Amino acid sequence: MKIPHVDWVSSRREFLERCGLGFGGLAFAALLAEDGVIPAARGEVPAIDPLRPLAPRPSHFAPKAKSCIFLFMEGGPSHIDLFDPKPELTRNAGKPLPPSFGKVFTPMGVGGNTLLASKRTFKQYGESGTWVSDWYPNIAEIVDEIAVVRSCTADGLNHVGSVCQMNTGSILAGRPSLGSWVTYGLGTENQNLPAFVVMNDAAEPVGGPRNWGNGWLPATFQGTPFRRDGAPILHLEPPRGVTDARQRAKLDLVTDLDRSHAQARRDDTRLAARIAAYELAYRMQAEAPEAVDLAGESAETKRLYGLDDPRCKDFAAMCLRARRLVERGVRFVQLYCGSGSQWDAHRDIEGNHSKLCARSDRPVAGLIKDLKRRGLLDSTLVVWGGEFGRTPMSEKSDGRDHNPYGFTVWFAGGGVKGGLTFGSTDEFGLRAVENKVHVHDLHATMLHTMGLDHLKLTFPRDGRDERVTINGGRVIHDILA
Amino acid sequence: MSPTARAGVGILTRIACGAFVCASIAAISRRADSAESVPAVKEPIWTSEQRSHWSFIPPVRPEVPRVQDRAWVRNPIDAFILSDLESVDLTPAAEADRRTLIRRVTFDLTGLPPTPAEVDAFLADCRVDAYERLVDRLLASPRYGERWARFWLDLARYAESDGFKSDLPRPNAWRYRDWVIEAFNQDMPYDRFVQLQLAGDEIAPGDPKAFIATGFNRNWPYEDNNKFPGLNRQLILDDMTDTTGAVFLGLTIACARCHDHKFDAISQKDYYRFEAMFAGAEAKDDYSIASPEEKAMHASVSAETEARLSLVRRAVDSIERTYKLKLLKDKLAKLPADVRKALETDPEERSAFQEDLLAKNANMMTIEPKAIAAAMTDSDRKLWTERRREMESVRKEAPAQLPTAIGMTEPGGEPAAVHLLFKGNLLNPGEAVAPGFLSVLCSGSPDLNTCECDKNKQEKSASAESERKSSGRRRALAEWLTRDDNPLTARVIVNRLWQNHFGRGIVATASDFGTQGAEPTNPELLDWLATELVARGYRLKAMHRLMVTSSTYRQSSLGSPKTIKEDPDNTLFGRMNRRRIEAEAVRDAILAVSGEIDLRIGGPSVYPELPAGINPRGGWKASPSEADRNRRSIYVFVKRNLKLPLFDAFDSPDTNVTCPERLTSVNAPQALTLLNSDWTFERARALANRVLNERGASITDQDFIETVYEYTFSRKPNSVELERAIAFLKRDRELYERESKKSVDDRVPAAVDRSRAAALADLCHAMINLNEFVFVD
Repeated sequence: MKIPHVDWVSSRREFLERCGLGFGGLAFAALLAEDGVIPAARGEVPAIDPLRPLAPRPSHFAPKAKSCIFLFMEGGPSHIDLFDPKPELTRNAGKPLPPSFGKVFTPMGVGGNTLLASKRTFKQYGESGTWVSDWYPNIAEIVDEIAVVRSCTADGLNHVGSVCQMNTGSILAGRPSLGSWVTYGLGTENQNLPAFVVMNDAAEPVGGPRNWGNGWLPATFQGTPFRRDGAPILHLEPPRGVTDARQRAKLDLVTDLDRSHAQARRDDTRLAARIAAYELAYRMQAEAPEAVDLAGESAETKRLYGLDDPRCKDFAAMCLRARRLVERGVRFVQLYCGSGSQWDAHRDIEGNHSKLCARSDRPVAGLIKDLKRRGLLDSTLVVWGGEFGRTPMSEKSDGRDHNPYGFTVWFAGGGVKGGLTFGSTDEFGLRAVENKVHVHDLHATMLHTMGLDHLKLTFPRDGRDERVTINGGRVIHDILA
Repeated sequence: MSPTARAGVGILTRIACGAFVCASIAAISRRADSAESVPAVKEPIWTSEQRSHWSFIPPVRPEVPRVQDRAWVRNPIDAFILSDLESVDLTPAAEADRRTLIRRVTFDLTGLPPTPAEVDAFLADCRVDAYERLVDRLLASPRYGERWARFWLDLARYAESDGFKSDLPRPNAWRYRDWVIEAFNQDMPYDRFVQLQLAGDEIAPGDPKAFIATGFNRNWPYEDNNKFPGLNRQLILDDMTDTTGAVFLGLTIACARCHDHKFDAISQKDYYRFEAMFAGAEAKDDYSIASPEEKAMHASVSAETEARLSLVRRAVDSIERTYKLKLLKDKLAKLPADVRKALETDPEERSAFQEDLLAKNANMMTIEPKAIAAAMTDSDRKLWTERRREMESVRKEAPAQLPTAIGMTEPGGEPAAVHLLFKGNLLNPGEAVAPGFLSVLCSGSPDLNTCECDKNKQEKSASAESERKSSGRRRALAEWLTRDDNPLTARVIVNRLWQNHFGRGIVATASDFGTQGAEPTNPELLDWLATELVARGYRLKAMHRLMVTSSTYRQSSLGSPKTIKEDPDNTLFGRMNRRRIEAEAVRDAILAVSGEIDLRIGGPSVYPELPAGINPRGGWKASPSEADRNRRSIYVFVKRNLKLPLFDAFDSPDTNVTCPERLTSVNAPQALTLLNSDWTFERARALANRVLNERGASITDQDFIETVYEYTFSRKPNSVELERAIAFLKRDRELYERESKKSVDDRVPAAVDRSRAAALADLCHAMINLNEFVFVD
């Protein structure tokens, strides 16, 4: 009998030859394969150095953006009160949708309710003349940097499915998050900080940690939540009463004993990888607190983000920390504004959105301006959006229901054509009608700016080369420079 | 899948992978009307090549090969393995030493490290069958079921909460977990194990344990706030179909939900045939499992309470009746036309859609007590409030509820028709599909009613008549799956056992035996094991025993340079695969060496402490009792939206989907958790105190280190390690004296100097962090 042929044998050998690591270099994929996880890799599994699984990896093509900051307005901001003015809505306020719209299904059953005019004043801003409402006066100043996509669509009707889809591509839980896919594909520039950082300004986002989870990718690629107070990362500091010198002495003992253990087991790279992980953890202990410490930032910078305004100072601090993180080479940063579904204005949209717009306006505008003046905007993709938009029909007389049929997301920075408005919704802002952009398309486009082809970034699982866009996805080249 | 193939799939297929396309409600009501007129789907005709895919051909018992080195062969497994090795001129690795063996097999069969006493006893046992005796002891231990239930629960996407936003708890889900543990411990034959999980309610009606077993297909995630009529039911049907196909058949049936399977001989119609087998099944969450005595006792106490309750309830009713009727009338007048129509339709005549619509709008038809109170006159309200209060207090005196279980059963009646869904889209139904099996595995018709595979049909229809309520479809499926000539079932399970013992399956894709899965590296061995399982009455313990007593299993994980060079991936199993223990075993091993583990079996789940700052929706209240918090990980509450940080870092799987195999990644959070969490540090201190208490405060550093090594690694340190550890203790004590705040640990024996106690705890902490602690050679 001859040794049966299994695809990954050859790929692993190839990788061995290519990387030539002293300590038995093996493709990470092959390491997983040893455990039977990636037995028959047919897609393009990134060649991952087991000793540095988060080391930077080549992208599929030249990237425009090195990092991504995803500003998630959780709960569903109203596109028709922010970026998508609808004069017809104002004109028809108080009337139901025309019969030509058919029956519209919404979670709270507002399909037959009357249209609610926007109380906002819209104006055109910048050289591009992009429309923005008076809820976002500071963001209005940076419109020439951003591409507003007015024709987004999603599949979920309620928050948990829609937040899940905006993060993982599916309304059902279990798949890896976009940030996990990106770090799986690209690794990260800074080995002393997590590759994928998540921050919330309030309660836990609906659905919880699986929104930044690794799904069935290796746990190495899961997002790391940063805390608002104290040590930014869970278990970053030594246990109570253990000083740094004792911690170092303990770590040295661990490393020495692990090395001699590994000496007799030289063909097993996981042992060396684990030694490296301890060193990384130790360096992270020193570097992560510095990365989020705002003490060294000038008063002017702090003002730029709005740290002087109690209405927005918490989210301002998150935005400023996001800049510091991408500056230090963190690959993917996700900030939740209004986490725990605060944008969910089923009633009193005026009160709700006034508050949340005030919370996000200066920090977001400040972030874009700061990234730009530091020369970081070109290499950072910034995305603003929620899990869906809101209905033109009223709910409880002064609120709006969920609207996954048409809503706005905007892009700025790395690889994005600024000053652009793309796609459109119908005359009331209910449904996307022109150049529809599905969530999968948003994800494909985000990956594209980072040099990744969404069709090529795959992970083999149960007979299928899984990818972030599942079985859809189309790059929106029109919004890319 | 190639990019072109992907592009061809089309974006409307999203429901397959967890999304669906919103559309108007009207489109669904069209479903029932239009389905009749939809043309039948043309099914592919399987080629002989497709039909003869290796895993579709029933295993034929192969001859045990002859080998040169016959002395190495302890049982037929070894002959197959050695024959492969010899054919490429390789030799197996030497046998591992006894300490390595006991540590390996104890972790493997029980998920815990051996105790020093167990190691000593094994080393002192000079009988020739000392190892076999050890294996028998471990297989007889209740710890065996606790370890092996874990891999099954991964497959069963077991969790104790709904997932999605509310992540509501399922208070009785744990009974299924206990059922699985008990099934393993009692060595339930695998065919029975399969049958009960799919159709316990139909096979043994009235048997509470058989009902609890159906919890397997009650493990679906559930969106309590799903606003889209009909979608939840479809998601549940899909979940049961996909999971059953993957777990028992090892086939990616889910790929055929939106289109014919791109690679395997599974048509889209096959998918819905299979799905129709579940069409009658619904969740039952209040199944009474009380004994007749318990029920009688309960009935007499509650009859008395009920009598008092009904008296006072009548008083409440008489006050609120007129108010309530008026309010209801007002409310009904405001109902949307379609809801109203559904309400007016005779319940018997209502369509599924109408039922769903009514359920969704139930709140539009209920009157809240608040509203009644508001409508009342002051005097009525006062009286009414008093009576209601009285009612509450009587209610509180009612006896505690009888124990109930959750699972799947059929409420009766003809199961709803299952339609083929074009592109998996609920809004695009095709023809109704009759229940049946996978066509490629049937020689004739796959239809349940005409299929020759369903040999028990006659007997079944007789029993179905006596049960009347149940369609018997799941029973038929379970029987089809466990026929001795089913080509997949036995192969799939022996391969899963092999995977968990040897670190990789003979088929490396444990839930994909299709054309895209890995081919078996040792096909004859796989077939021998599959036929052996059947020959041994589907007893899994016999298969475990065969595997772990083989010479193959007893090999050292240190292969010869030649084997490593020529078979770097160890496809021929010419050495043992080193394994990183799974998340639950990491936690259990820490608690075991610290001496704090609580080994009680079964019962409701426990809640260990969460680190400060983690506040999941729905809450997580740590169990008040320390003993509860220190129970084995299998008993930790499984919340879909939250994993213990330690579990999360060590690759515990997402519980929304079936997981055929754990990853073993290496990452910084693992190091941070073991090095910095208070929990781990406290366990290290407990280990240090345990040794001090057992050996006395005057124990020398050397003895202390040796004892800790025995606890943590089942061996004594070598001289280099000993020297290094002694040097560490000296240095750590100095550091403690120089700079540490004098933290007080009450558990340290009074005779031990504080700085020494701190250093000893630090040493123990380091040991828990070592590679050797989480890897098994």
